[in-house]
Amino acid sequence: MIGENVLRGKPFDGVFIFDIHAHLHQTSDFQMTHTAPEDVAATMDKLGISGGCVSSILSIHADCRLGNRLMLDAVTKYPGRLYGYVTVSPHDNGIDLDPFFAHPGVKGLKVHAAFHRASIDDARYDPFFEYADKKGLPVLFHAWEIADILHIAKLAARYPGAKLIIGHGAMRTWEVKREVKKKKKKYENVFADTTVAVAYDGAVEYAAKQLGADRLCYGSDIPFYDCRHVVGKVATSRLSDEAKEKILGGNARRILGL
Amino acid sequence: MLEFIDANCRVGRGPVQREGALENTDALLSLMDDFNVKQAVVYHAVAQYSDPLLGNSLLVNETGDSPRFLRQWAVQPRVWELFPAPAELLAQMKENDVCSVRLFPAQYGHSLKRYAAGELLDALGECRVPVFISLDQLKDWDALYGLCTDYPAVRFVLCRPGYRCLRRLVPILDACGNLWVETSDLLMHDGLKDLCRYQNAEKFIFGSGIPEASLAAAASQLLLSEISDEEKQLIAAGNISRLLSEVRL
Repeated sequence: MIGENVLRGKPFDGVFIFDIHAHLHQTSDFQMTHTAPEDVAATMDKLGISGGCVSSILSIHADCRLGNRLMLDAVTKYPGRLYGYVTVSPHDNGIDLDPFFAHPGVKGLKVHAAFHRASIDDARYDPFFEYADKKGLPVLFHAWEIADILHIAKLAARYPGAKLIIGHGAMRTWEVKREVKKKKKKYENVFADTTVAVAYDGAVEYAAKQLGADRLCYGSDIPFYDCRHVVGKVATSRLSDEAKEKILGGNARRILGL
Repeated sequence: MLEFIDANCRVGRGPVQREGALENTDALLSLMDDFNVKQAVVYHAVAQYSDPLLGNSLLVNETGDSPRFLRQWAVQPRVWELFPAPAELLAQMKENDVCSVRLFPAQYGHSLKRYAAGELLDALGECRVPVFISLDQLKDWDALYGLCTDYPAVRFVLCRPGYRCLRRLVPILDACGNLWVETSDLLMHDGLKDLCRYQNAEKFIFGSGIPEASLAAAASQLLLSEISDEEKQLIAAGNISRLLSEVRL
């Protein structure tokens, strides 16, 4: 049974686990720890996590282009384990995305509108969303507020070819989950991840019930946070092993095309 | 399998009802069984948000004679006869098997300075009653430092310090020997490993943060951390057991 290893303090074994919401590097806001690519990869190795899709925190804070270059370096250094999101900024929307996606490890776009002091529906993001729509790419959003969810819903209708992932959306609050549930009725290209799964006991089961296990993906936000509490919470939830396998990695494999 | 005591757990209905969340103490006990949590230190939502005396009374009634629940009362400085004086409070705690207390200075709107809270905290310190307080009940970390240094005989347990706390937490742990820290919100990458290495495993106490946070998440964090079995046992149950065993009511 998935989750037994957690209770015994042992790494996962025999289940594909993929972190759809991971980062590298750090912010000056607070003291982060173990933020280098090798640190993140090492933690995944120790826990039996197959890999993750990362963006650089540098790219959502100080320097988007530098962060994206460092993301590419990491993805190149850890093929088949670290995959990457290109972070897109509304302040730099003329960049050419094609060279990034020529790399087999680059899988999608990352939007962190809050740190870029913009809104998800800022028109300067449109070229990026059009690109994702055309290429069928995933777009991972930092979506902390209900307003973010509503913006994503509108984008899902405008860009049906893109796969939109509501980062933090599945766990933040029950209000957010209610909004996600509404969106599910209309939009099949919307997914959610489990970051901030320190949310109350029962939240994983509730989110899976409302969204469907096919649309919920394990994500940890590592190294903003550790990943142990999230992966353990999903693995030890009262969902079926079949649902857990989807959430822990099966859905990511499908959405990212791994 | 590791045995836990959950040192940070609230029972009773709070102001927010989350869909799919634990509905009652039976559901809580079932979850505790899933993670081998033998006991939980519990306080009551009514005490936090409405009426400390009523909430404390409800806690006694609702936990009954279950050995799984270790009662924690919400306390405040005495105001006339509206809250018991320390001697009476301690007697009531002994009578009701209450082994720790919790402060809500922000929620209740009272000072922690000696002129206001000295009588209460001195009495609790003398009896070695652990005094729990969440970071969100304090103005800032400097207020916590003031609390620990103003009352060096009191054993404080800081709850929910947040994953962004290292620059604040490390110096205050170095400075204040009477401070312990509950772990539910210590979610820095490899945080427990680092804290055990650079600080001391004896200063950390396992808690779930229920209902705002998750027992499953907190237990997973500790179970999967790269620390020794001895350190895990101390954090999971040993440290809080020792603190509670030293209470003299």
